[in-house]
Amino acid sequence: MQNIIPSIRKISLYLLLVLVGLYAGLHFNHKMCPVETQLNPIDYAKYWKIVDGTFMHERMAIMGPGMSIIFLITILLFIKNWRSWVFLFLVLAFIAFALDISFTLREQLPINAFINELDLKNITIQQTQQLTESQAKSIANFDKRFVHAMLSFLTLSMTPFFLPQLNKKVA
Amino acid sequence: MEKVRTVTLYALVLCATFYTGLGVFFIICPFDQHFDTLTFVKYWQIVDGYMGKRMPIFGIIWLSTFVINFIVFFKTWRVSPIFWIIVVCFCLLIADMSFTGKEQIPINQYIQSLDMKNLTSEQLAKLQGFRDQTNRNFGVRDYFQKGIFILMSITPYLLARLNQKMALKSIPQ
Repeated sequence: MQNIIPSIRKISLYLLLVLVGLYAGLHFNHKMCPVETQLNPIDYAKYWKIVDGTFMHERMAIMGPGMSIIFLITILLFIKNWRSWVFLFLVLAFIAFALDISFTLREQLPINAFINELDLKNITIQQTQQLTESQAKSIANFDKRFVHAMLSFLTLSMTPFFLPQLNKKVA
Repeated sequence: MEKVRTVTLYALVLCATFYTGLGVFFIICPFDQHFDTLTFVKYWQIVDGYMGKRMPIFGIIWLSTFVINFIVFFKTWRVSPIFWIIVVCFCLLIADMSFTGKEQIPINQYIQSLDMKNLTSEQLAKLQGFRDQTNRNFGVRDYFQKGIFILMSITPYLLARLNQKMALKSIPQ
């Protein structure tokens, strides 16, 4: 069993790195190409209804908990070495990720729900005004989420470089 | 030298991740397939407007990072697969770039040249064909990008063994 654990740790860390990397990449894409900053509120709502309503809401609801579970499993696998750099970076990456999740639940999901409920053919002036505010807030939210995702990935991607040092110490 | 290798490889892994993330978004969220052709064109003009300006900068950073890693890892080609992984990834990147240049850039240029207010039915039919072609192109590019990312993210795990071997080599026999 003692021989298997380093391999399990490596695989778990690798899997986590891939997922967090792709997650950071998604945000990078958004930063490189912020389409919604160029759309008027109605076009933005149409676009967002497809992005969130059709795809992201369902898919991120799987990816988010999946990543959290793999994060927790990896942290548990390294908990015995809580004084190591690997564990420190792992926890920092998890904190940044958890921050992102709670921020999204608090700040972004209500906006998504509002946009998904809108009937764009019968939109009122008040709703248009609210939509304009939501668009601006959503753009700002994604700027913050980009920082969270980058922090999470940058700290996590340090861990493989410290793994040999840890394995040496354990051996 | 160990530290230089670590830093340059770290930079390369970061670039690979960002590059793959650009493609992954369209795989997770292929929202453009839900657009009618006109909305697609509007959307694509914005996307390409950004990407046309930003990707050349990112491309130069990405290629420079590759070149630096070639130099840093060149001496290790006999002792570790890292150098060869970097070579394969570089080839995949070049394949992706040349594929994009040949298949996608002409479509982007055509879409950018369109006057949205005066589209003819002939242009609309052509656009529909280009739209399908764009979807196929991004499907192909996704293979290149995923290949680069999966290979690159293995390299940090191989670095320790390489450093060990290089340290042993440097000890006078």
